[in-house]
Amino acid sequence: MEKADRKRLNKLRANIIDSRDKEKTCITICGGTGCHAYGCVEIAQGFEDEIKSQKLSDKIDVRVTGCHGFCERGPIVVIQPEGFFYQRVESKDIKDIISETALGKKVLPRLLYKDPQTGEEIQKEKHVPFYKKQERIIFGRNGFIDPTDIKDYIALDGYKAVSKALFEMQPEGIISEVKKSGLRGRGGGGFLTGKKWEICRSSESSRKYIICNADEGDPGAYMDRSLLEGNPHSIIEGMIIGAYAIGASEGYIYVRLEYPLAVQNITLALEQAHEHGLLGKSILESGFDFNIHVFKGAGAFVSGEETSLMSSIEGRRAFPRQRPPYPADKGLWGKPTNINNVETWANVPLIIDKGADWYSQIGTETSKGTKIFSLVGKINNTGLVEVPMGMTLREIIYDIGGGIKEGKKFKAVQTGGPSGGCIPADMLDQPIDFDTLTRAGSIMGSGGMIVMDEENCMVDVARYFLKFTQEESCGKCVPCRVGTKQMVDILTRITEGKGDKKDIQRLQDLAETVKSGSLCGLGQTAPNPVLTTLRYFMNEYKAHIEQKSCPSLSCKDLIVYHIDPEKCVGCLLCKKNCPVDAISGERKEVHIIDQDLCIKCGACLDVCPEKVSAVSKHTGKEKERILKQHRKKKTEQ
Amino acid sequence: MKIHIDGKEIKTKRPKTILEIARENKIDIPSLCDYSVLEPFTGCRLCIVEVEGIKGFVPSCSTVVEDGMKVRTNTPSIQKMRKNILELILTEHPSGCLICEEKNDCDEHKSTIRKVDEVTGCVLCPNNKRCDLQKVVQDVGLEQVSFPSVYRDFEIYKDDPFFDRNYNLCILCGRCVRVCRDVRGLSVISFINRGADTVVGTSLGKPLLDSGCQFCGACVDVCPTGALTEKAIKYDDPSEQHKESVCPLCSIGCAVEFKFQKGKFLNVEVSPASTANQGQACVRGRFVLRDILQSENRIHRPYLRKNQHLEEATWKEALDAVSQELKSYKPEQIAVITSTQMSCEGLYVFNKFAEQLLKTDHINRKNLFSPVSLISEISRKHDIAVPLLFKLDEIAEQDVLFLLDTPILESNPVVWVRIWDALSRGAKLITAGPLGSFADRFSSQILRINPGAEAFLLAGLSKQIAEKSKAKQFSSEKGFKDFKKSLDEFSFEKIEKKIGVSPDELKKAAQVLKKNKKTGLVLGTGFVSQPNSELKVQSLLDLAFLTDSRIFPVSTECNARGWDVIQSEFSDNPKSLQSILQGLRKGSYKALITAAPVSLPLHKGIEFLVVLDSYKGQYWEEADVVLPCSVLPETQGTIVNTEGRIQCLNSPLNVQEESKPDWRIISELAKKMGSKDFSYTREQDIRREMAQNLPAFKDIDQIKTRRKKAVFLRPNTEIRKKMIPLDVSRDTQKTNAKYPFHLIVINCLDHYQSCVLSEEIVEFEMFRNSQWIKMNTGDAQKYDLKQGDPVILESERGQVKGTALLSNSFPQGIVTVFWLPQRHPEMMSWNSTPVKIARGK
Repeated sequence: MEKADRKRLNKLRANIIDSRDKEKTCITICGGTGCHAYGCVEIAQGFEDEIKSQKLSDKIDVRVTGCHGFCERGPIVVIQPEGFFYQRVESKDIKDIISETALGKKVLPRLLYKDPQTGEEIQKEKHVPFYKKQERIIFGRNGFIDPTDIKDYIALDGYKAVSKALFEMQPEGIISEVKKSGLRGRGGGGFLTGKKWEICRSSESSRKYIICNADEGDPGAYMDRSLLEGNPHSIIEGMIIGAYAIGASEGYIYVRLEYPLAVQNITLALEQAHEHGLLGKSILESGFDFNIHVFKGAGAFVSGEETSLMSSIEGRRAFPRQRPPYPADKGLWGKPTNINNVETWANVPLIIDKGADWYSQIGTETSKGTKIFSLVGKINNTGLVEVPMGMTLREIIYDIGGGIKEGKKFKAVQTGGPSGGCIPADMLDQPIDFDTLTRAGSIMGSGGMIVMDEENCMVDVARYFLKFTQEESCGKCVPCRVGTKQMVDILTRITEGKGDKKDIQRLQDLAETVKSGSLCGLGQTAPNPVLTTLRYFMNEYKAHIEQKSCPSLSCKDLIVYHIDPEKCVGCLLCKKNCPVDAISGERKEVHIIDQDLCIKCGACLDVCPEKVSAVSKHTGKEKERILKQHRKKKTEQ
Repeated sequence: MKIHIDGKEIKTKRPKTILEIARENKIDIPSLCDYSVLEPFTGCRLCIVEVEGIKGFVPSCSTVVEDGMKVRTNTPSIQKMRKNILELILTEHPSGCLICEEKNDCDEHKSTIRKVDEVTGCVLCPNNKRCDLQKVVQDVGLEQVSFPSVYRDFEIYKDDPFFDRNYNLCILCGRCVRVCRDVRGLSVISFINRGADTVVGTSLGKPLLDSGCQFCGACVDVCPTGALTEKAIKYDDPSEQHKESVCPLCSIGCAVEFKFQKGKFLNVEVSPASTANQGQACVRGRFVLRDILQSENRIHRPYLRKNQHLEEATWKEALDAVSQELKSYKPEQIAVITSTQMSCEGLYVFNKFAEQLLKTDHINRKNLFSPVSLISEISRKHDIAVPLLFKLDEIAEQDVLFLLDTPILESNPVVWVRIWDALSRGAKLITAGPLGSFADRFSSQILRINPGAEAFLLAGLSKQIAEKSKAKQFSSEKGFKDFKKSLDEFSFEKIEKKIGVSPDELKKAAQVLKKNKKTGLVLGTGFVSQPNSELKVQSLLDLAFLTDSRIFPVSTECNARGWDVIQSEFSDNPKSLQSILQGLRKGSYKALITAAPVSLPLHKGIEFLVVLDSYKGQYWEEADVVLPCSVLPETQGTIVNTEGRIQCLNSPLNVQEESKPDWRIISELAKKMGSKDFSYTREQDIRREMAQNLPAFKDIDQIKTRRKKAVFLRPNTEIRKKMIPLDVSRDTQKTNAKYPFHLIVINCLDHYQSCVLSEEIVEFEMFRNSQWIKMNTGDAQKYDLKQGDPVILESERGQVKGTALLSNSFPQGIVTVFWLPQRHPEMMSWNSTPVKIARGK
């Protein structure tokens, strides 16, 4: 393939657009990780086979695209150009979709999304409430692009920004444009990207590196993954622009090995970019040389920390090191290095293409642009959402996320992954940006959002997240390695009802030591879940310690299951389902749980028919009363 | 620049870290992971300070000062933070004794229970009173630990030689991991696991013996706790006194400290003094020296053959006998063998004695196995002069290092440390040889050549450079034309056939050697151990001229450098050991005085044998007179290291029983024989005479007065370049049906006088047994040999016995043996000769 120069690239784009019939029906199937799990591969294959056997390929195209974000309702199929939106599609629907919708242009009501509030059937993607409030400048193109074909990206103005940057702008101009846009690092720190570039540019060295940090390790977060999988060229384009602005000749994409599809797609994309003269020697005949390598990380959480990441690329254990010196001075192999997160790089082409003025209109005073959040937990619409900075939590959770599952009460949302904080219900109307989250004791992090309802015990939640960071601590510095372990031990003790009054003070002291004593970001933020839950949910801690009760009825050691003799109809359901045979009682007799045998799995509660509702959980005094009664009965026997 | 620490104004020129400056100014900042020779780690977080204008705490060990910086090291918030962090450290470390109220009085009451291995507190810990953690707890003033401490219950590793590892005491400061990786270039140990389970360990948890550990002991020396402890002193109290000395077990002459406790000799540790070894040593000095100096095989008093039996005698009887007997031989009937492990004073006196009293020149004064002496000899022949003295620091400064067929990590680990310094700075390494070596893993190019093809490799490289460069570049070099012509016939196809390396590979290496500024050719102990060693040296000199490289010839034994200079001063036509041995074989000599542990062809004609040795070697019982020498660390003698550094042993130990220093024995003998020229009472008397008579030793008499300052041999500063034409017509030795293997002889220097380290010390035998004959597992199977089986290697020149050591990764068709003088003095020249393998008995 002939390498493109600037003019040839434009021509290629025009050719691709021309060759495509805008009116031709295209069945797009979401190929994101969520839909993969739902079996989108078979469905895509089904469509292709069916179209082949019906000889319809001149009428209908099939395209497997990147993630559409609405993972809750996968597999998702959108029929273009109309944009008909089908969800939870199964193989048996394939024929109907082809005959009715693709050919007949009629919608199939059974596959449409129904608004859970109004019950209204929604035909088009853009009208689905989940998408309606989003502003999908980064993520939106995923749905139109086959990530394995560079042409799709080029057709959607891909690499236009590179062309503009290399031929119409000076490196300093690019940096000032990025600075003007107000773009802040999406990896969590929120440092001004343009400023970071400027520092790295001003470091003197014959060799510089740029890195794309794709070591997304937060449980429940997968936006970087979806971008790499769904639109790899946008990241490559961002990196080329960054490298040119900084003066770097080599780049690395550090992606974890557990993201095989991301590794595959980005590797393929790099090959294609090379073939088109968009990477390598003299990009687009501009005289600028730049190469990108993919480095597969072994999956340590701490590798996401920039200095550890570089240590890992250098072939060492992923240990962070003290800054300064900052990577911009001494980074990879001791050379000036600029490291940005996947999403940050994906923002860059937009800023260069559409201008800083356009970009900075989006967002708040201090936080510009959009942010992709992965909305998970006890929420109706699990998925990836991209919203302008400054949207309130309430809008995200209720309008986009569709509210809490099973109509339960919202309790808190954990933002920024395991080292973020838990934000309570009374802060739901806070606009979300870097600074408000920091003020609330949490962080933007990479954009994880885990929604919790009334059944989540906040002490247990703090313990859970801290245990994660504790286990992922690299072990280098004392506060993080030992301090988090002591904190987890105390929290475990509290959830087991063995906490004492001094524990809260101990936790606060330890949290302070770990936060201000630790070497890297992992340790410095690890106490956040504990600190925020102490701040907003102190009553729960107190209940656990003072009354030995878990108000959320969640901590196993603090609850009992009880069958109300007044309500029990003796149906044997709970008895049959008890895995440890702790329930006694014959048919039509009141069933009784043997508290000595019960492992508190909750199976009895789950199976007890709703209209009977005889099984219930109890904590605190009520629990003591039930246990006392139980012991009394046992001694009587 | 000016900075303020705790209100005190301090001026500094160089940018240093806050911690360095604080320590220089006696401001105490506690730290556990910081260590002088290591890069900052910032793991223990105890050295935190506050800096005006910077939020929170900063670790002082990694923060470089800036002009006007205001630092506070001990505010209440720092104190509180330090206490909190130290408490956390102590939850992972048995801390009962550290915070015990009665710890100060404990010594009076405790019983001797330290020999239990489960260390649950300082009183049971081998590191008690030497411990950095104890000091830090004291300094920080910690009195209680408010968290439950956890005994991690790790297995205690005791099966490896020399030191034990008890990671229950480890505080994960990482000093051992870093010294092993950053200073020693080995990375035998590493952090493993994550989070609270993080621990230091080897790859796959294998023993150190199987992990490539060289037992240099650097990790033990930097460990702040009792996690790593030397077995030999594990149950002793800390030393109270030490004496500086020099290790006599290789040519580096590492500065070491002999440690004593209440007069008892405890062990040998590395001296932090900034000398050749820069605070590093190796297994021999650190762990082996102690035991061999106190060996049961030491000879304590003179022996004399009376009525066919060797019996104990007085010095008077022994020396009388020698002086009487020697008078009855003609000078040419007497042969003398000296050793490169004698002191300079001993060598000088010995030579003077041979010259003045014995009047014989049948004394070994030429060392065919010393690169230095061979290079000087060949240089002289061709009217060339190259500098052969060098500082180890210079190795570390090179941009390119060419390491030729030398087991440098095994023979001179401290030289490897300096090569590693260069590599860490970004230098390129090229390795060449028929065997793989440890250094290969860092090599940018490995030239795996046929056995014995070294000379042709060097010639091939020179040809590449000479022919592929612009004609003008070398035309001015003296002798270039003749040199180039001599290689005309030596086509690259021929070269490839001879050395087994393709022209492309050769070209690549030639380009690296040519292009860079500072190139060093490092020659180790095995360099001249070959039949065609003359050609090897010639082609080396040519290559050095063409590439403008430095030659770094690493000497073999502790005083090989001094020996070369002293011996050559006494004769214009020096004889080699080989020619003396030939004489012995022919029966030319009737009397022999030997101070070297060589095995000798004694079957012909020797009527009178005098042995000077410290150890009962393999044939000491055949001697007519045995004169017991003191070991070097019992004397005030000097030795010259590979840099030409003249170092005094400083007699850290007392002379054992009736043994005497080498020079004293000879002087007394000379006096007995009527000379008045040997009235030395101490080493200094001899040094004064040497300074007058030997130009290179002009400064040796300053040793006593200027002990602090290093004294060196006077270097020959002359440089005369000339290219030498090479005769490459000879072929390498080929294996054949009768002798199907190539033998490679490795000189690891594992002996001191007659004492073979692996025979004397079981732990060293585990590490490196001089009996090992290494071969490929598949090769061994053809002879039905298993690991540890006795093996006999036979060549046309003789045979060697040993024990089979098998390896899958070892190249086929090659066997290696370790060279020992007592095994066969000429064996070094057997290198690359064809041999056959047979099962031994």
